[in-house]
Amino acid sequence: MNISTEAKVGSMSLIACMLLIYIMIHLSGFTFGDKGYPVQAVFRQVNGLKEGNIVRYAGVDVGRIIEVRVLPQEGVQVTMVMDPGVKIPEGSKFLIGADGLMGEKYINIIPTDNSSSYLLPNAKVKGEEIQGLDELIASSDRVLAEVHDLVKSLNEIVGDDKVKAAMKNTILNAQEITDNMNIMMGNLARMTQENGDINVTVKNLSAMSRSLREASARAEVMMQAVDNDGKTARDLQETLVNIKNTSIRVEKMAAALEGVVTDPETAQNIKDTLKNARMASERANKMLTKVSSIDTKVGFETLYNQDTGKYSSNADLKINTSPTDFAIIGVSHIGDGSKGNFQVGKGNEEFAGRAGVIESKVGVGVDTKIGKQMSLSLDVYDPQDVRVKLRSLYQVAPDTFIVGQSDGINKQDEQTYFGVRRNF
Amino acid sequence: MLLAIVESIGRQVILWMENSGRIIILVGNTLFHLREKPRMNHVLHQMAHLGVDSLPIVLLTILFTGMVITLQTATEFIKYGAQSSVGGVVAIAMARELAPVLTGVVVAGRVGAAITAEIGSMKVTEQIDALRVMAINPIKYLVVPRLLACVIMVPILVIFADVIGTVGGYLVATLYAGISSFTYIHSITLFTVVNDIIGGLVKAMFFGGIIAIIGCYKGLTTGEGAEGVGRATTASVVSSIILIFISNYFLSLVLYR
Amino acid sequence: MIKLENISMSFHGKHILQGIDLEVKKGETLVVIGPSGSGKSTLLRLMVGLLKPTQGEVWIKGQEISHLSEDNLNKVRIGMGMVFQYSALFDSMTVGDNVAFGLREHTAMTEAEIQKIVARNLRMVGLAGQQDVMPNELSGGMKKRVSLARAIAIRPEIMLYDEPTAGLDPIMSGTIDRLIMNAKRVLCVTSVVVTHHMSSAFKIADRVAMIHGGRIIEVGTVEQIRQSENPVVQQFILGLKSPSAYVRRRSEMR
Repeated sequence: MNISTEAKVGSMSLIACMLLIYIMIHLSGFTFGDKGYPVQAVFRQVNGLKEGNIVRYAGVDVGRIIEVRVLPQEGVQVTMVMDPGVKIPEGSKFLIGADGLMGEKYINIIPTDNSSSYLLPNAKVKGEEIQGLDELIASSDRVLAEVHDLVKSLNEIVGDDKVKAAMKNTILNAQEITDNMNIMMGNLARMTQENGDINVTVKNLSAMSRSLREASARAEVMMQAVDNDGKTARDLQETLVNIKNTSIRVEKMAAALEGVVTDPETAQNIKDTLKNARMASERANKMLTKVSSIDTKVGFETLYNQDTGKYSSNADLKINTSPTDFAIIGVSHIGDGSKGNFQVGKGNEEFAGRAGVIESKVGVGVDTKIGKQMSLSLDVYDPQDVRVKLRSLYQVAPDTFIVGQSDGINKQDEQTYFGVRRNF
Repeated sequence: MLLAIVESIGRQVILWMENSGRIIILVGNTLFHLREKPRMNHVLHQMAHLGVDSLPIVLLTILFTGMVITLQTATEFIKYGAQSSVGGVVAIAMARELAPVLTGVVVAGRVGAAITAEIGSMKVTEQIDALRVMAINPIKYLVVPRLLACVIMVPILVIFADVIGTVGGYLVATLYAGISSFTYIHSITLFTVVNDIIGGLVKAMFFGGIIAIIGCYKGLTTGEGAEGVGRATTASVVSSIILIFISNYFLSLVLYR
Repeated sequence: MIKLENISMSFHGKHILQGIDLEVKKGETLVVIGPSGSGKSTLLRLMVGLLKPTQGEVWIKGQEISHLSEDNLNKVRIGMGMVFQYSALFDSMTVGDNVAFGLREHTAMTEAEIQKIVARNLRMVGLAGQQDVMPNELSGGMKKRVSLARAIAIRPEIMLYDEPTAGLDPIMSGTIDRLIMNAKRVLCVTSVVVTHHMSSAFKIADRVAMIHGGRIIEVGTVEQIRQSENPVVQQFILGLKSPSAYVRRRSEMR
């Protein structure tokens, strides 16, 4: 049989066209007839989800994504087409997942138990955001990089001779302070006995002790909760979320801090007032070599006050004289009406109580550890005008913490701080 | 001595640039003549001659390429428990790179050589001059139909190649590597998108153009005698293949960003 | 009809033609003679625009062609036919298609009309009924005749012949010569014939131009060329060893 040129070319082209159309249909998942119904979900971000990706309901393929569009305000709108006959309960969670080795993204719909109605065609739902500790750590990492710069600047300050000398004085005065405190306590006791004209003081004092009792009771409850099954996991989750928000603020703060530390005047202020830091530990080591189990730790923190928009720097020296006994010497609000701290305490990492001078006033405090990385402190001070201070520390690196602090939570002028702490 | 080396390098560079320039002029001329209605019977004749007749060799080459690719990937992938990706990987490799490039190479060897030999022998026997004297533009008469035929037929060949390559992969995956036929086919749909195929066809069009233009250029610039035709034919195949590989890289860069 | 003015031509710095002035009148047959490599074929190619002169002007029917684009040149070429030294038949086509080629490309004739002309032209060159033969089945002389049939099919006003009788036996040469004269008589064409066969040159020529070393050294009628005093011309006509041989022979004759 003699096949003509036209027939040869024609048949080959025809077969090729049919193959191409078949491939196209096969690959684009195009179906004839019933097309299913669209559902829109809005996500804050979609992690590389694109058109043609699969939609899964409880792990079963039920549709495809036909459009991914960025909205001007709300985020990213993903339009998907559900296969006909598939019913999605209202209130189901829409999450973005990734497939195994080669990582195709897909939308995962997690069914909800308690729903009587189903999503209608063209329904608009809100996509869930997956937030884990990894994200938190990721943002903390950036903060740390900036903290590192900060610490470098600080080391220059701490190395100064004047600072060392001042620190020495502080330590020498420590004994004196304890003596004075003893006298003060004695006076107080006497005054109470004499039932003198100091009703106010007494009242305050009792209020103070009440607050402290309450605070420690609360901490105790919290600890029990943590030890318990996991009832307060939600509380912890909340705390984590708060901390995450904090870390974002810390990031902002760290940027601003650079300006503070590099500002010559402020640097001088910090220099002049941070009389403790490294010297303190040297000095303390010298002084206390006799005691074998001595261990000193210097910490420095910079906090940002959300309410006033001001920064505040605190420095402290913790001396462990025995595994259970410790003393804290420190300065807070450096350069801005610096306040002194001197407390002696007892306790371990899990729970410790302190008493002494807090923010230049007489006071007591407790520290408690919640979980691995989290610790809480509650301080009550100033018998004349009782103030309560709540602090939380979240460890992001071996020597670095994110600090949340609320001053005077029992007062109108409550001040909230967030910041970073670094131990040396 | 040194001067002689520098001079010879210079001569090569000038020659190379001269050739490039002439090819560009030829492309320009050819495109210019595309505005007129091409001789459909010539185009058809060339399509049959250059396209249809190349189908068996293309099919054979790509079938075995698909088979060997699957043979190699399947064993490795199964080691890592990723047998569900084999079909997709083979299909993507086929559609994006292997089918267009190998078809291009096979067609360059077969069709590019044929074009150069035909036009080259026309050139040495003064048939090109005869055409010109008879007021026929050789570019319009010889180059345009071949270019059109190649630009149309190479993508068509690639469609066949895509299919046969994947089929070859399927055979090895199911019969030799023990991957289930559903897994293989499903992974193709999962990984391959329409753009993989389209990109491969766009490449194929460029390769067809390269083969036709280089083939015609080498033919039209053939030197004297039968020896000249032989040299031109070899040069045509070598240049086409090199250009296909180089342009393939840049096309991949642009098409699959 | 054809006029060359001060034509110079060089390839890669080698001068092929230098300062050529030549005119061919309408209906005239000019035979260009000269030894191999003297630039005869180049001259012919310049006339049909296959080559562009390095310098000078080529006028065809009052139009300067050396600066025309290929497309405009083709308009001029429709009125021209050329018989190549090696025939240059399209070997992918039958003899009939070769002859019909120009008609199919350039005229709106029906296939029947074309076939009639093809048959007549083939009969004219003595190859009647050979339409379906492929060129590679033909002998050299037959190819030449098909080539001639192809060239005259579109009834050109100018015919160019590049060595039409080279490599042919004397009988076939004679046939070709007669066909050239026939074409001239029947179609009234202006012809330029390049040859180095003196017998055919003198048979067909109205005028003869002798080209030597890239220059035209003598132009004249057949008689004028025969009587030429130029030793180089005489050497070529008589096939002598050197120009001085002619000078010696002439002095002997006196």
